[in-house]
Amino acid sequence: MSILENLLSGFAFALQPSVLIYCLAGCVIGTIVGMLPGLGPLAAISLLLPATFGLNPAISLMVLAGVYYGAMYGGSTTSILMRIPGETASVVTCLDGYEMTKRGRAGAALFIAAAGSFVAGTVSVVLLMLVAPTLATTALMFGPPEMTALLIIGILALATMSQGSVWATLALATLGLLLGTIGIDTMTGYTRFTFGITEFGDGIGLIPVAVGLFGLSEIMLSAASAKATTIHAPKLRELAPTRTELSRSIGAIGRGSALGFVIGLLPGAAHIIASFMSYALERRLSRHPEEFGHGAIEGVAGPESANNSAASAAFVPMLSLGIPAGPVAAVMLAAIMFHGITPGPNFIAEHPNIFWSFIASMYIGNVALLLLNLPMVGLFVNLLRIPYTYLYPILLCFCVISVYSLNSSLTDVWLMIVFGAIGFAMRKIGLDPAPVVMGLVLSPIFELSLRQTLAMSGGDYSIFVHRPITLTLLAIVLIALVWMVVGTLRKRRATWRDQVGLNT
Amino acid sequence: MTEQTSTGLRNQQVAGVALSLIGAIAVAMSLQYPLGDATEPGPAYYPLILSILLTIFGVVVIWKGDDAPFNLADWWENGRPLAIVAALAASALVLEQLGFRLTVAAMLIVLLGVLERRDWRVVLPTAVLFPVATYALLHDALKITLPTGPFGI
Repeated sequence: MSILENLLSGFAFALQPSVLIYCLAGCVIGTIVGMLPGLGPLAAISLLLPATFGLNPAISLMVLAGVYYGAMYGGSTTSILMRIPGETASVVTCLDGYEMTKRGRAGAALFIAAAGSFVAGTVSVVLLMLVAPTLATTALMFGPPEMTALLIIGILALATMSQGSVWATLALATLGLLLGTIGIDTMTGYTRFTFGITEFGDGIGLIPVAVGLFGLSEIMLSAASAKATTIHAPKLRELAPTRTELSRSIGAIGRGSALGFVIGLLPGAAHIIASFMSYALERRLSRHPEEFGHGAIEGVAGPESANNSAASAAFVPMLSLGIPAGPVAAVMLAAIMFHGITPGPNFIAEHPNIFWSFIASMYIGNVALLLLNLPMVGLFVNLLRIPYTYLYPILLCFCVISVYSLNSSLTDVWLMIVFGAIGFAMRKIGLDPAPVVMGLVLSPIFELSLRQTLAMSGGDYSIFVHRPITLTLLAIVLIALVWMVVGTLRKRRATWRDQVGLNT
Repeated sequence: MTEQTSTGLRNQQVAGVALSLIGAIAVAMSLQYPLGDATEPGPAYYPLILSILLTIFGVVVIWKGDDAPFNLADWWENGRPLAIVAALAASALVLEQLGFRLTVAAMLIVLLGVLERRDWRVVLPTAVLFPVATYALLHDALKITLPTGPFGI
């Protein structure tokens, strides 16, 4: 059967009312889960897993996948409206999304986030359908040295994405990487930097740190303003993006979709890395990079598209090779295996009905999520009409509840409070907390990749120049560094010429 | 207008000192673990590299600091940040003893009623309805474990 015939048979199954309702239920649950900082898609999928055992395997996958990419949609809502990242991949959306809200463009930000997520989700489903086996094989060529090189690119890309000085950004990213070493060293079993706190054995949680650094610090700053913080609640006609905003978003959505899909094929926290890298890319390509961090629409469109695209791409190695790219895919594989199906390279050939029904459900899910989120834009934005002096105490309770519910641990609440205070101090002295969070996310993967690389090469760092993909990636890093230095020197030369009057 | 308590320091100088201090402390702490070598990195290998880098970057930040003056008086902001931290800390201390609903209700009464001095006709219903509604959503609907207080409240 051709791809089209297979896809049509998938739709024939997925569009049955009894099946459609499960798909939609997964999307709705995922959207709610995405909005709640404490309950991530992994926890929701794990909770729902037993409930899916009695269902058809195709339907089980549809429900769980709906929760996963629904969470990508929902996570942007609290990031944009309240600067509280609903889901880890939405951390970047806080940077410009909330600034747009302060300027009265919350509706436009939510609209673009939903539309970008839809386009990216659809594009990545098409790519998933067409190239799954080939791309998955290519992704397998990414070993530890390639992963290390890619992460170095990601960290250096951070240096260009922050509003502040490059050196401060690098320092903060390094601090984040260092924070990521807290806990048990998986290779030797040593417990590092836990200060005797048992809960730190697993490392410090990303959500308490992110909610503290972003959400809590913002509440502390806003509640403390001498002038009452007035977030402009937009009129109905202001909810939609302007033509300029739409035209600026199109390129960012396209690039985010492509970048997210490629990065999403790689194992690890790909959707988070994709959103950060998309932000850095958009900032680098923008004609107005100074707008980033102050409400640039591309800063919302790109990362939101990238994280949705990466979320779909994560299914490529899962479906075509039976290899989970992360914990969410691992739980979904467990759902497949429970039904007596062995995932692996022959999965698509042996169970085409499950594969194509799943693909069809992803198309349907994307449409459903767009239809669910767009009309809700007006409802969400109306939350802004609540005076901030009433809103922020509720937000504080929301933060405590969300963080506590992660692990029923007060340690997480204390972490959030400490990092909230640190985030407040950082913002008072002009430091951007985003690189710290990025470093924290990357650190475990980075350390593991680096140590595996050294184990492969017997401690020889020249392995990075002996492998073609790694050499290419490091060459990109070198070119980018040279470009940055040349750009800085040119700016200084122009400034000097202005100062001495040579440019009159 | 906030009275400036100028110390002659710049923001980035303060940031750089803090970062390089953290880096130096992290170097000392890392050395307590086995270092290993490139062939077989020990638990200190990766953190030590990062700590050294952090110290270096911190020093560079001090050197290349921007011009914005460090003004500690700017941080007080009518005491609200401190009050918020205190309210959160208090809630963390009593959450597992008083339970979710009573703790959240108390937090809302303190923040809305005492700190912000909002109308009690709004504060009291909010302090009752919000914890009850969120408990119902999270505990009853989503099956998230939340602490209960005395008499199962």
